[in-house]
Amino acid sequence: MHRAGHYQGLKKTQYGYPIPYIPKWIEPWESLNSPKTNKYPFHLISPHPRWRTHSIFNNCSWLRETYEQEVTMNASDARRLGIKMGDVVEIWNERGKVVVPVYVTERCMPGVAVLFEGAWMDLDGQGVDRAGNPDFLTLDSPSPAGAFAYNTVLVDIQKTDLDHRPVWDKVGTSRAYVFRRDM
Amino acid sequence: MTTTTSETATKKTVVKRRKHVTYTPVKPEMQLAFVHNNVDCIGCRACEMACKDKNGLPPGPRFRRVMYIEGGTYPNVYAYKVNMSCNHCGEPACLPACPTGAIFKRKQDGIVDIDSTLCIGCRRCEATCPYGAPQFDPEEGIVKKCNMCVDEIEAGRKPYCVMACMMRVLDIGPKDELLAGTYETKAVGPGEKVVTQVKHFANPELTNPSILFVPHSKGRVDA
Repeated sequence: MHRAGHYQGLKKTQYGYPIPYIPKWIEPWESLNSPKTNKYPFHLISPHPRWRTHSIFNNCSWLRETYEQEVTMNASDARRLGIKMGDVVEIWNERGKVVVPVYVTERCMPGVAVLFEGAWMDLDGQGVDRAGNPDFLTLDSPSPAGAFAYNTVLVDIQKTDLDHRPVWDKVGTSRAYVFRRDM
Repeated sequence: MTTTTSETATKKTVVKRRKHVTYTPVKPEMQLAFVHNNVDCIGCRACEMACKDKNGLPPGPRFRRVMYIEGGTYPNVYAYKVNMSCNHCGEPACLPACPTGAIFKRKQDGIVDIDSTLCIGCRRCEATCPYGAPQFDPEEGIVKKCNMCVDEIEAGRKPYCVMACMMRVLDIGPKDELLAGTYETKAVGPGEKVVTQVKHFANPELTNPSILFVPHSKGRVDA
């Protein structure tokens, strides 16, 4: 007979963090439960982009036309912050700051921001990434099991006058860009 | 209510004016049409890439465009895609707008094409098209558009976009057969009916576009 609590013990990984013996949810370093949300209220996730493989093919101009590096956020959050579709915003926390255009949608959960990984960085003189690479915002320490904790990051977002440089000029001669999306 | 009636009246006037000043359109023996399944399309844009590859386009013009239509309020949201290139209209708006007569409609299959040797790049067709099909190529200084891969069709194959579609949601076929549901295509599932118009799509009475959709439940105009 196993006593209750036998499997609830914690062991330390080679990275020095305690994790449970059986797989279960544990509180991440940063989440919407943490007190840090007072300062950084958005949970940033950085999924794989559809138009490049991580950072590969980011310089392919055809693929750059299909989607662009932008942060996706919920419409109610955007309304509260006075942000409209296509505005340039800065996303920051204590680790860094990136500048990207915003895509406002109802299809994103409120309180969550989505910034696709793999953009090629373009630093200005102040250390701000103008291209919008979420690596500037992610945690520097590994997860307890030694993985990269790129989907539990707290950030704040605001409208900005800082420069966004997508490292590719949209050709202003075509109506293609206008027809890209329709709300 | 008053705004709706005045809008309808305006639309009717526009259609009337358009019909009045237009030329006698070419009556093709058979009109080829695109058919797109708005629901099953995943928006991967492989068709766009295949098209740009076939036509050797620089960044800028995109003959085929996949558009996301989304709506609702979180958490009850929906999204679907509308995929359009040139609709090879029955009464193309671009054709009479061309000052050099470079745009023509083929008699045998109703394909609308631009003769690039005659095009002077005035971009009038670009302004008249309700769908944004003719697009300016900044490198060559002329307007280009989808020609439904005429060479492929003459070789007995389908256009590059159709062949690149991994979800098989895009296809071409004779318009009357597609409308009647007698044409065998993977884009239209069993029990599905095609429509000529979806939300946010220009009034088909204007140019009689040769494109049919399997509509999303939220994208129907008749619902």
